[in-house]
Amino acid sequence: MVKRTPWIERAKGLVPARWRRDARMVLDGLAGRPPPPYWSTGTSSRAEAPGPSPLPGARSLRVAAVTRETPDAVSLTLVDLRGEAIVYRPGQFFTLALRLNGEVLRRAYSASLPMSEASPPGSVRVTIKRVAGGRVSQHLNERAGAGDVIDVFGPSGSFVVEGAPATLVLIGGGSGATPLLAIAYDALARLPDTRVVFLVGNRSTGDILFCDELAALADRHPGRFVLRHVLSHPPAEWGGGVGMLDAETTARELDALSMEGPAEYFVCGPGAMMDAVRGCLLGRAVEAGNIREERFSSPVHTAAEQPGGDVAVTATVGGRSYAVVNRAHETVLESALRQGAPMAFSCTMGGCGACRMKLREGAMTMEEPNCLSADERAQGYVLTCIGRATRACVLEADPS
Amino acid sequence: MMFNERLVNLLPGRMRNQVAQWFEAAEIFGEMRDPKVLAAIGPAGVRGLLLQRGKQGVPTQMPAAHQAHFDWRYPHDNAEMASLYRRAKEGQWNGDSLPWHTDVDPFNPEVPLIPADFIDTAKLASFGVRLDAREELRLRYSLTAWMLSQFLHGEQGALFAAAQVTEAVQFFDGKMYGSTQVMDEGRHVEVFHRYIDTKLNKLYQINDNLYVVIDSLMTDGRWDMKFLGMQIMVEGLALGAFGVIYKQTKEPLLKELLRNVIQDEARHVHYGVVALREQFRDHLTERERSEREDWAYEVALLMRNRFMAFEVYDEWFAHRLTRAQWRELVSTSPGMMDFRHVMFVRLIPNLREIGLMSPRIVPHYERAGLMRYYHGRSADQLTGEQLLADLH
Ligand SMILES: Cc1cc2nc3c(=O)[nH]c(=O)nc-3n(C[C@H](O)[C@H](O)[C@H](O)COP(=O)(O)OP(=O)(O)OC[C@H]3O[C@@H](n4cnc5c(N)ncnc54)[C@H](O)[C@@H]3O)c2cc1C
Ligand code: FES
Ligand SMILES: [Fe+2]
Ligand SMILES: [Fe+2]
Repeated sequence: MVKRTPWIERAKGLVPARWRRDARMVLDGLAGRPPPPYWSTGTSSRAEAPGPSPLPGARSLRVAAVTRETPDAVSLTLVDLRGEAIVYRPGQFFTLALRLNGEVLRRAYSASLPMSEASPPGSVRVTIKRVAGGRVSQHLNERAGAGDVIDVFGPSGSFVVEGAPATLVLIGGGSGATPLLAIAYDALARLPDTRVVFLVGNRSTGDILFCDELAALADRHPGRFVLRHVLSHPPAEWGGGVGMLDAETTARELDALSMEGPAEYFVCGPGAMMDAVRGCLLGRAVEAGNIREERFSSPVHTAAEQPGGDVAVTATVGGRSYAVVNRAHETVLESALRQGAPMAFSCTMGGCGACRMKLREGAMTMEEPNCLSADERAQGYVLTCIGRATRACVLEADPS
Repeated sequence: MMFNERLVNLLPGRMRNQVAQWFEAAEIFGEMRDPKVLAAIGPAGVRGLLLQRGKQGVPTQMPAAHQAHFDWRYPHDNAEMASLYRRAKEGQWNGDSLPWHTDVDPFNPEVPLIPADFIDTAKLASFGVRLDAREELRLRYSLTAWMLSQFLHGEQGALFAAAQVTEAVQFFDGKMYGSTQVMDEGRHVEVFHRYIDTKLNKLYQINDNLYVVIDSLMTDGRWDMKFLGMQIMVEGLALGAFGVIYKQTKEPLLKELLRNVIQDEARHVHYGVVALREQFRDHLTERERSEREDWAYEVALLMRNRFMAFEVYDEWFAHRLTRAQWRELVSTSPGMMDFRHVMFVRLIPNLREIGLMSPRIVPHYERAGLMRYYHGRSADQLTGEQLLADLH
């Protein structure tokens, strides 16, 4: 039997789709089915695709140059997108916030040149050493390219030279040489009566960061700059020190550098090395007040507990109170900045204390470890940059 | 009107709103006095009000019939337009640089999108609809999303109209200027859409009356009608409307967005005034001029009387209020009144400036309550900064 198309179907084929839509509008209207008044949106990707907006409080810096320092370390020269100078002190660090696989990862990187040496002027150079299995350091070593835009916080930190010590002893292991190089440049240029001793520990010659720059500094300041390399895996004919920078090696090296007069020590490197050097120095009757340290180790972070929903936070800053909602997926600092409260902060990763506030009421969880001392914790201080409110909170800006 | 309403009430409930809507539309066109104007707007009216082409959920095709005007000699023929072009180049900004990180919470009463008195809830209650505090916030959120959605749809119209006008305009300096306006309008579409899409998550369909205006001028082949429709009417109304929201909103991102957009729009309207003033004065017959005068008046009325957030009504109150009640609510609520009035603050002086406010039309504007804006400053006497300063 021949199957017959109903007449209405055949007629449809003759009428342009546009007219059928018009007719449907009229008929649907009469049947009490008006068109939907609105659409729900939020799924289009145009806004998100290129250049996401900066994180609250961040400054967008552009990578102007990428320099390979060693097979495992790369330097990035960063410039401000709007051309403003980047101001910092030698020894300070910046927090680079990278978006990798939908997650924001924040890592501290110290300036490896003082402002006076920055080229182009107004830029900052950071140097990143690859850490085995490290997410950010690997990414930057392999992928960073000129033109990339990175959200940056800071500068932060108080690993800086105050005054003009007679002798400055810089002890660094691996990437710990980074802030020490900036300090060395600066002290040699700015403090004519200061002698600088630089003790650098690495695995092998290929790992030495800033090898040529350090040699050039030594040439330029023969009397005032003493440079000593120590390698745990030295090559066949090696004139420098041998060993890990543990207590014993450090003591031996310092003995060899007959030093007269009071000295200030700046120590930077992996945790184990720092502990060893500190023990050694204290054993040599160096006053604790003359030992300055910067710990690079960011041990495995335990994320703060994620509270379930929005929590009310009242923050008093500069004598004014701000009612803020701490969103579930944000830190107190992020929420407060987004909602217009003029919060203090610097590193945004619990490392500098700039965002410290007093918790008057309520409860907050924080990522560990962080830079709060046991004393500060006992007094009720919290860090808003790594804190999430679990109950309604009342916060007060640090009066000190 | 009374008769219509009674007739409508005899219909089965679900048909009632639709038919009432058609009666309203028929009324608008019945009242048009000039047959030429009716011929110019009528077809667009059928497409917009009856067939609701803007709400069919599919892209709309609009045929264009204007002439692209080429000039291979590139004359420098209009100093004021050349200076607008220079200013426009310097005034470019990047939509990405607005503070998009701002967290917009439409339901936070501490940072209201629009003030609480925008809609008169006492009146609403007198109609038997009571809203609790949360619902009131949601209604104001809906109204804001509605207004911004209409701004966005208007910007899409402005983008394409600016492109058409750039092709059609006879001044070469005007074409150069026009290229910047195309970019400006693209950016406006970008930022309004991004705000709606990522902060409000709610895009209202285009209002039927706005659709009629856009359809009518896009399909009109006469370049000066496009100019009049887009640069003077739609942009002028938008400039007023942006100003109200700019002044009243406490939401910092929206405020910053509007501040930037208003400065661009001030240039656009200025351009419209410069281009049309001479054209209407020196190059048209009186018959042609008065046709444009009537057209402008009808469009003004359409927006004055019909731009009433019926999309919000459909969403919220279709089963609780009649269309007439909604119209009364919108016409008497302080915020909405302000919104629908201030739209004209910028428009009326510009119509005066381009010569479309002759004594024959003034009494009609008087009756519509719009003459009070007559003595304001026109766009060619205002910079973007002055405009913003006026709003404080
Ligand atoms: C104040 C400060 C300044 C810093 N300055 C510099 C600098 O100038 N140059 C530089 O290269 N780095 C610097 N760091 C270290 C840097 O911030 C990162 O911790 C490092 O790059 C590793 O990050 P990642 O994402 O690659 O590793 P992750 O993915 O975070 O960690 C991967 C693994 O590596 C281990 N790990 C993490 N950090 C180190 C480390 N430093 N050494 C050995 N193992 C580690 C982790 O425990 C983990 O098991 C600094 C750290 C601090 C706190
Ligand atoms: S900002 Fe540095 S600790 Fe919070
Ligand atoms: Fe626009
Ligand atoms: Fe415009």
